[in-house]
Amino acid sequence: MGGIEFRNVSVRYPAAPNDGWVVKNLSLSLAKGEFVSLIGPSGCGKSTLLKLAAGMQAPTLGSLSIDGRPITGPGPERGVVFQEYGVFPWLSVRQNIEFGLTLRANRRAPAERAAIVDKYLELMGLADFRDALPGTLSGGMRQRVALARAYAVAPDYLLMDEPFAALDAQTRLVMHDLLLELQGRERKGVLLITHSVDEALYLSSKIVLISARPARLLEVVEVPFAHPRDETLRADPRFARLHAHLRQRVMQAYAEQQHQDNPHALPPENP
Amino acid sequence: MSKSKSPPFRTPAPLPAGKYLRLLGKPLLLGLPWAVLLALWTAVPHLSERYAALVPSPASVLRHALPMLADGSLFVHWAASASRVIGGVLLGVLAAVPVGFVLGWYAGARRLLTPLLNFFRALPPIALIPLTIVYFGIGEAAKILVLVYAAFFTAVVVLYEGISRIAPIYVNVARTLGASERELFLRVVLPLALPHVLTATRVALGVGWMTLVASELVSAQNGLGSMIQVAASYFQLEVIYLGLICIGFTAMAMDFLLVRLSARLVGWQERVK
Repeated sequence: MGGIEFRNVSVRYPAAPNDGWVVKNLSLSLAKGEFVSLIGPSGCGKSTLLKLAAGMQAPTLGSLSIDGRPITGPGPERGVVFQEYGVFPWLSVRQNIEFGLTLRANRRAPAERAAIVDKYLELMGLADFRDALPGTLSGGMRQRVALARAYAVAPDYLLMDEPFAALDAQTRLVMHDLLLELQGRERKGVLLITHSVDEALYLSSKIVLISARPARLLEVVEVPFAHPRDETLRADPRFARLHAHLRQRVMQAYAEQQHQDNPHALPPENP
Repeated sequence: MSKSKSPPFRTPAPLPAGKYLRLLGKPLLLGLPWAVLLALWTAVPHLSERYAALVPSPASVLRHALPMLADGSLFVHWAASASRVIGGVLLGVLAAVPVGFVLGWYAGARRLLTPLLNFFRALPPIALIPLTIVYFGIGEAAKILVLVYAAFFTAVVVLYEGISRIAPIYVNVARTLGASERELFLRVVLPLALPHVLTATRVALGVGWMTLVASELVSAQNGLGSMIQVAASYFQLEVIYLGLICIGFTAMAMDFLLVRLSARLVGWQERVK
């Protein structure tokens, strides 16, 4: 069976509060070509889930598999995009995008490499900056480089950890449309970690609500909107209804998380 | 309407002092502190006879320098010292690079070896010179060895501090793109460590000059340190001054060249937020 699968996954950090469990008995799956957003309060363990899928960390209990094989480490079939971009500052934009293609795991011939890099420079609107060093670029541009670098090695899945959280509001909207456009061209299975309800609704086909720590699955919401999507979607009454529902649930989890982090504050209100 | 009446945006006028300094131009500006220093030095011997006896004037230092420049003896001393410093620091930093990598990369090794490192680092190289003479004599190797020692321990600390602070994000990104451990080291850790190697070399050069002159003061037939030592026994204050000036300018020039090299090699570093 294709896809990324979390089966009864639990993670425990012995030093953490609550007995140390940050993820408890969580199961979820991401089919090939499906766009799933994980949404939940900050500090609930969302990023841990992404690290598990990326193979940067192993679960304490339970198991993860990709296309039927257990996940034992990072792999080029899963591209990862981080909030802090992680663009290599000593390499030019072009060399950054090319980086994965020069590694033994997915090396391409120089001509093919150049063609791939040119394609993504064009798609990401980076063509004029091909020889620039990342230090001279804005945050939005750097995240484009990181995105292009992840796409260049042609992964089947993209794992994104709040990739747009550090960007300003307008840049974020532009990046949303860019991502949708890329998805339209080459559909990947995407796992997006976010705390933005709007972002999750606008981009995904499925939204998974995560509880306060320890992370558990609260609710799975199918997003009914068809593709291609654009700005007008945000004015759709169904969008507003789902937005209100998700927002309310996220805020509730947020209040619980706040209470955990700071027990002397007011207890969460029960609606 | 009120918009057009509002005063135009004005940039603040530059301070008068700043304006004059800028008129002087950059080379002159850079020369200014030196000129002041030279003027003070020239003035001191004129203050009293006592001062005149203890502080040689710049002119008399120059008078002593000219014959030494002409017969090449100053150059021989200078070259002996400079080559010892360069050789010793290079060997010391070269030895420090692998050790710095291991200590910076493996927290376990760091915990195990840091106390040992701090013990040896604390020993002043000058205090080691008597032992070096006993074990290795007063030859060239002994002097270089003291230098290598000083450079090594200085560089190791700078290196592992820097390498242990390499942001894990770059390592994670490379791993998720499919980098093997070898590729990770060569393509990511090494470039990120280069700035620290250069900083370590800079710090080690400073320590190198201090150590070298001390070792030449004790046991050497040539070199700026020995030149100063010999001059001291004949009370040739001018030659002592000359030696100090040579050391200062050479160290300054080496540091300048290293900074230029750093800007070329790791210029990307400064432009990163």
